[in-house]
Amino acid sequence: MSRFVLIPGFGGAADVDFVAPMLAREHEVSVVEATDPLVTDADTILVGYSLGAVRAAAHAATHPVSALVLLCGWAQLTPRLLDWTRHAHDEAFARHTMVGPDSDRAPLVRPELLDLVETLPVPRLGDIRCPTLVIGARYDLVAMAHQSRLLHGGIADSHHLELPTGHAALVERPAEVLSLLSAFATHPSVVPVVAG
Amino acid sequence: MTESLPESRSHVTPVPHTDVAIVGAGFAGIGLALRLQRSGQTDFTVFERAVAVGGTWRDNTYPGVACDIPAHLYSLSFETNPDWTHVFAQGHQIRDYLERAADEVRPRIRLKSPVLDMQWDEDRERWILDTLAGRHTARVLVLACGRLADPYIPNIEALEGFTGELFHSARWDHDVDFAGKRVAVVGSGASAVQLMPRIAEVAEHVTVFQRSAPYVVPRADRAYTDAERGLFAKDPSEITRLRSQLFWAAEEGFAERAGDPSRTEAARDRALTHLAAGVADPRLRERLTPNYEIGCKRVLISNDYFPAFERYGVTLVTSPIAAVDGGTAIGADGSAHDVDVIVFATGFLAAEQPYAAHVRGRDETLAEHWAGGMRAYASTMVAGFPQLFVLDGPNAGLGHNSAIHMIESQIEFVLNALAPGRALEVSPAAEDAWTRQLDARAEGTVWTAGGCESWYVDPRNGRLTLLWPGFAHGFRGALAEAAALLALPEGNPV
Ligand SMILES: Cc1cc2nc3c(=O)[nH]c(=O)nc-3n(C[C@H](O)[C@H](O)[C@H](O)COP(=O)(O)OP(=O)(O)OC[C@H]3O[C@@H](n4cnc5c(N)ncnc54)[C@H](O)[C@@H]3O)c2cc1C
Ligand SMILES: NC(=O)c1ccc[n+]([C@@H]2O[C@H](COP(=O)([O-])OP(=O)(O)OC[C@H]3O[C@@H](n4cnc5c(N)ncnc54)[C@H](OP(=O)(O)O)[C@@H]3O)[C@@H](O)[C@H]2O)c1
Repeated sequence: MSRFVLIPGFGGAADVDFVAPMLAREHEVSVVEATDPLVTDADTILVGYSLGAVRAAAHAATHPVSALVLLCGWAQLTPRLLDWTRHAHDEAFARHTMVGPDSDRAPLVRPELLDLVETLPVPRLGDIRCPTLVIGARYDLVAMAHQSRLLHGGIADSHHLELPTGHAALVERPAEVLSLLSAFATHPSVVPVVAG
Repeated sequence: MTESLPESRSHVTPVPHTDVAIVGAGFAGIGLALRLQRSGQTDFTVFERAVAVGGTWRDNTYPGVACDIPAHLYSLSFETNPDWTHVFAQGHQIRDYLERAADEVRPRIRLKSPVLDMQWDEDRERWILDTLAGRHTARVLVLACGRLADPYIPNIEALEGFTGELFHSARWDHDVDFAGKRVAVVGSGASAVQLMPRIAEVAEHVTVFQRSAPYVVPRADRAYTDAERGLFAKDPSEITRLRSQLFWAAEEGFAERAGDPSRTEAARDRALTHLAAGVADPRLRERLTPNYEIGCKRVLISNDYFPAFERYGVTLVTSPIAAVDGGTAIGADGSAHDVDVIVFATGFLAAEQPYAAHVRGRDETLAEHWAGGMRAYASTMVAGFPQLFVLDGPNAGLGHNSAIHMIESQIEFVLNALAPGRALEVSPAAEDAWTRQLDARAEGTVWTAGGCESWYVDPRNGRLTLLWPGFAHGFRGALAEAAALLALPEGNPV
């Protein structure tokens, strides 16, 4: 039994509506929206998704956590990403650009969370000491898979995986993300094997 | 390899010996045989009682028989098939697939060889198998006998006096022409739901005996385009990619059955909306509405079962069949129905597997060992039965994802266990711990507390013995960990 804190992305709590209850069958789970106050201790496994990953990384650089999972996050705020957040107020545009080629899911986007991207502090990756699992997405047109590789490069004790999804990994493949979180909670030092 | 047993020495009749004996040539037996051979272990023999390989897909040839897991996922990961024509395969297509897959190991398969008796020889630390084709010995015995392999027909008063034709869905009589016939279909499970509409469209009249109503959801089938199939053939990584997508999507189905009430509710709504769309008459709809929680039994997929009732004027009897009087089938509700054919879609002997009575370990038979319900360490190894593995046996089934993923997880476990330096026997304590953990996990779930009776549960004690109460990926992970514990050097095998 571990203690998880989940920070969702542009969809808010809806992003974790599969993962949170299923993880809660075996672990203590709380969901902290990107704008909520965030409290962790040395036993917390902090999981961030999308803009939540950036917030989680920044937090882990300055606060105690036992382990960190960064899903579809970014190491730098690129002009491309900023541009996307401006266009993503158009719901259809957001939906189509967020999912990968194999998915017909429709991720939720809360406009006020798009505007947050610009204001997020850039994480000091070199200060993150805890075991970290970085999960990127091959078809991520929003954050770009390369940004997850940079997170991996900048964090000392990290493993890196890539899912065959778009930016909306948590909406496209919630069960697979759940399996990675469960495996990481049990053995943070072992790279989870992507099954299937 | 051939060797003689002491008692037969003087007769010079050599008893053939094989390193690994596999009983059954369905997905599990063929899958293990392929993996063994491809890893260079060629000293194995597959014994199959029937005249052909294929197991389930050889035996079930009823009209409409099809798989309800997408074909690319319901295939062996190491034997993929670019040619699946549709998202869901027809039964005969899966049978053909297994026939083709078996070609590679054909010389090591013995057909028409029912294994009648399997006995552990403590002195020589090997298994003695008596088959219809003679005696064999083996270091390792793998039971790949399936668990939906032996048809179940309920006890029905005066059934032997029935004047028409009768048979079980898994033993279809293709000589019977349904045109102009009045037919009783007994049961409303997965088999009945597939075969009833096919019979109703040709028969004069169909009566369904429904003991409990099933939840049915839409079947989203379609043909693959030539371009898709061409791409699968040219680039096998496309199959891997599709399998992964299908697998993880199916995994989400577990949340409907355990852990997430809002998803259970959504699933129930989906099934009841499908019922409403398929049946106009509210009274009929009412009688087709289940009175237990969704997921308790297998959730069925069909687009033509519900509409068949009104389209073909099918009679629904909401009670089991209780007796037969000449050419009349009588329901437990007293209703009488004149019929020419009775089709039993009444399922299989599942909780008590017929093979178990014929496997004798150190001190007892497997049936005796399983008197309190099936159980095994890692769902695969049984205390008191050294060098034995059971595939697709205790707690190895699933309601929400592909059985083939489960079978492959077990095959991997067996290959791990057969590696040098592994224990080939488990302690009663290890088996107990595994069983206790599963029993605890099953408690209060939809399968044990959902208000239905299903073949997942052993009717003798209410234990969930045939279903794995978790994710499919969790099964694979748990078996990988369980296999690692078999490593011997520390001297502490499980
Ligand atoms: C009609 C039907 C539809 C199904 N559809 C699905 C589906 O859609 N999705 C899904 O996941 N699962 C489905 N299943 C479950 C299916 O049984 C499994 O998916 C899978 O085929 C089991 O393979 P197996 O090798 O374990 O067993 P089987 O296919 O049953 O093979 C066991 C073999 O062992 C042989 N045998 C048994 N005892 C002996 C003996 N003493 N000596 C010699 N040979 C013996 C039998 O003749 C048989 O050939 C279905 C089952 C049925 C009955
Ligand atoms: N495509 C597919 O996916 C597919 C197709 C066929 C089979 N299968 C697999 O095979 C399993 C078995 O399926 P199945 O349909 O052959 O068997 P089943 O699920 O065990 O269903 C048997 C049916 O017979 C009924 N029954 C039993 N005794 C009866 C009696 N005396 N009077 C009236 N009804 C009686 C049962 O009623 P109750 O419900 O009240 O017990 C049930 O409806 C499935 O669960 C599934 O795993 C899959």
